[in-house]
Amino acid sequence: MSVAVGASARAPGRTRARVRALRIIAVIVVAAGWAAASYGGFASAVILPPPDVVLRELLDLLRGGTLWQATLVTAMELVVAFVLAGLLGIVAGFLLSRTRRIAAAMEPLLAWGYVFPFALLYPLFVTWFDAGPESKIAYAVVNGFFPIAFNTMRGLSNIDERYLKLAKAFRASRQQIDWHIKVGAAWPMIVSGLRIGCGMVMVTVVLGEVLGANAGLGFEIQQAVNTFQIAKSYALIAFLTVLTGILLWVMERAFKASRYA
Amino acid sequence: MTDRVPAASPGSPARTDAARARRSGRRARAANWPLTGAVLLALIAGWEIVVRLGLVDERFISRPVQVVTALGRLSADPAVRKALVDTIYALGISFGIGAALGLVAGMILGLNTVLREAYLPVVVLLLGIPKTVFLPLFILFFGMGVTPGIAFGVLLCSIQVVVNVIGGVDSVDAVHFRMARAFGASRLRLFTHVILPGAAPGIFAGLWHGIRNAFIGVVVAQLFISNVGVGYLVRLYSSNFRIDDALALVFFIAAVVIAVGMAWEYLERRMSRWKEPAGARM
Amino acid sequence: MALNISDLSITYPTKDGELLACENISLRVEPGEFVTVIGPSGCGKSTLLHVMGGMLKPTRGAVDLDGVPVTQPDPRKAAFVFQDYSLLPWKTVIENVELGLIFAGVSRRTARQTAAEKLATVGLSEFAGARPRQLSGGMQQRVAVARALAMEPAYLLMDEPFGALDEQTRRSLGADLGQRLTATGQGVVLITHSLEEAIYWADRIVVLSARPGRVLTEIRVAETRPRSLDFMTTPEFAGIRAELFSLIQPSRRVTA
Repeated sequence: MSVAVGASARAPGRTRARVRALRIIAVIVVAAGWAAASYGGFASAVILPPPDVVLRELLDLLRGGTLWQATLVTAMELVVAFVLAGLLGIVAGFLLSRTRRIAAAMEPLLAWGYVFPFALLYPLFVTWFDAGPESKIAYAVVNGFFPIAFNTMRGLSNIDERYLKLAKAFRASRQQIDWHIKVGAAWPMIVSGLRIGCGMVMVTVVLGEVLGANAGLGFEIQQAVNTFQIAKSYALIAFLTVLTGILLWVMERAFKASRYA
Repeated sequence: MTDRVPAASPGSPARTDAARARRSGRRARAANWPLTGAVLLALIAGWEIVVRLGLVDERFISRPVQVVTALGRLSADPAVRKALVDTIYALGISFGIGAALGLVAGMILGLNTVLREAYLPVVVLLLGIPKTVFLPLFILFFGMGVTPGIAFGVLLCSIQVVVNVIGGVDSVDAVHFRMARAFGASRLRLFTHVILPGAAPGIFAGLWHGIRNAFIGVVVAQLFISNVGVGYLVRLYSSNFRIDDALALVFFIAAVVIAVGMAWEYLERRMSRWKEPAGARM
Repeated sequence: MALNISDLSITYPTKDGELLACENISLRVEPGEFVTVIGPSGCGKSTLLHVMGGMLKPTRGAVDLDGVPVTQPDPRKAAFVFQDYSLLPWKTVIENVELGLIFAGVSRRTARQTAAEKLATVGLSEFAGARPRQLSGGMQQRVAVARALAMEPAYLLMDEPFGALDEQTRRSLGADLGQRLTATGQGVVLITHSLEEAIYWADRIVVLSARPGRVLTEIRVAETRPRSLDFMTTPEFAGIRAELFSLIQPSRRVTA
């Protein structure tokens, strides 16, 4: 239990009402402040278009076709990158975990890959692959690979001794241990690696698109800014934020459901 | 008091399975640095060989030897020195502001359930989404100098700090809190003597993630917007096909990042070895 | 199929040197017999059980089952029940029970059938599809027993199986399981540090000395099985308990 104050355990209804009120207030304050800033001339209308203009642009976009085409491109990149990173990561993690010596040797390398600032290499990726979807996918796979491989290898190398003892007592063969025991025991770590990898893939695909692309949602944002359609860029950013938010939410639910413990 | 039998008496048969399992288990936990080093060397050597054989164009990925030479060259370059200084300056300021904002916001949300319930989802959303989506706006608001780097660093840093501070406050043992209150401790004393120490691990974790993210924020902004700092230099070298310079700089930064990370983990482990067990504080 | 232990000694290396766990242990368990092994902490009784089941190799002496030497675990002859249940949390209860049979290469259908039978034997049929974490400690231990029974072994080797449970559960579980196992004519070797458990379960109690464990004595318990919990209030029970107590009491222990 937390030491926080404010919520009344005796009147949860009141708390919920207060929460709702606070949220509404926040939205009103932000919207009003925004409108005041742009209409009142505190910020140039170029860099801060009024909220209603942005809203109109958003509705136009939603009705049009280019938004959805771009979404498709981005979604495709995300899915392909995640599947590739997941497969490569899990297979690599599995293979590396087979031998204790190799696992011990490779663990620091994978851990370094995990923290390596791959963002710095992105301009190189653009130089190497041009600005098409392949570069985003390649880049995202490299980023997502490391946490997945690291966690998979870690999970498979550190099986609880009790389960291995059990396998020995019931005379399991090596394949049986792999299939019945290791996969099950390592599953939480593997899933957690996939979660992190998924997050990284998402971040890097968006990063790639926003900063050097020729298709996709990020590219649309970039284009909008370059052609000074600022309100449109705001709308697109809002859309992409909501989209990634929804993806995150779906991901969390999926990963939570796959846990067994 | 245990019986001792002389080890390895001539006729004794092979050691028991338990002992063997214990020994190999212990070996598996420790890292195998020599082998790691060997693998790394093999990778680097492989890179050099592949390029020299002409399998990959040298202009695209350079060679380890050239990268090392570039490193030497760059360290003497005043432009590089200035970029490093600019980056560190931006890092310092963005961390300072971001941490301060994060601490205040984190404390407020941590201590007040209603506010937390109302606004935490937004914070969590901001934490999860790729904040690079906002970068195009940063050019508009902050130009291309050192400011967008600082601003983006502040954004990334503060969010991390907020989340960790809330977690830290959450982990304060309610038992200590209620006991102190029962003894009539004032709000200020409650804060300084119960909440702050209890939340300290979370706060420190927050500051650590904060500074890492401030660094990422600064460098990523430089990478794509600014025309100052190491990020800018990497972009410059990369797009001008000065691959060896770009890689030298990237590996240098990566090495610093990794080294600092390892040092931090080591410190953290040392600190938690001395940490009191949960119930002992009061 | 008698379980025969002859002149067993077990030594294992620790960081301080070699440790003699047991010395010169000879023991014979007859089919269908319940034998309990008791002794002070550290007397090597758990190590002894592991050697009996082939999980560890003795330094000297031998174990054989029906004349065949025991060199590695064979759950179809002697199956283990461990103190920490070791149920696999990612499998359902029934999948846990059939685990050993699957490892032995038995067909899925037969394995499932046998597992269901044994689960019924321990009275947990309705939990076949549940996950271990949904069960109480006592129920999980019963599943572990079912898993061992599924191998239809000559002997169950139980390593302080009720150690992690509270007193009440121990008693009722002990009585319940004792009855069920007696009904099937199962042979059991049970390690415990509870005097009551040792007496209640046993046809014969083997008392070990402090480390290095040697057989101090064997006590026969004449009362026929299955026994009700009332047996614990009888004078015979009290008498044996007093005898055990004096043998195991620290101040009277044989130490180095």
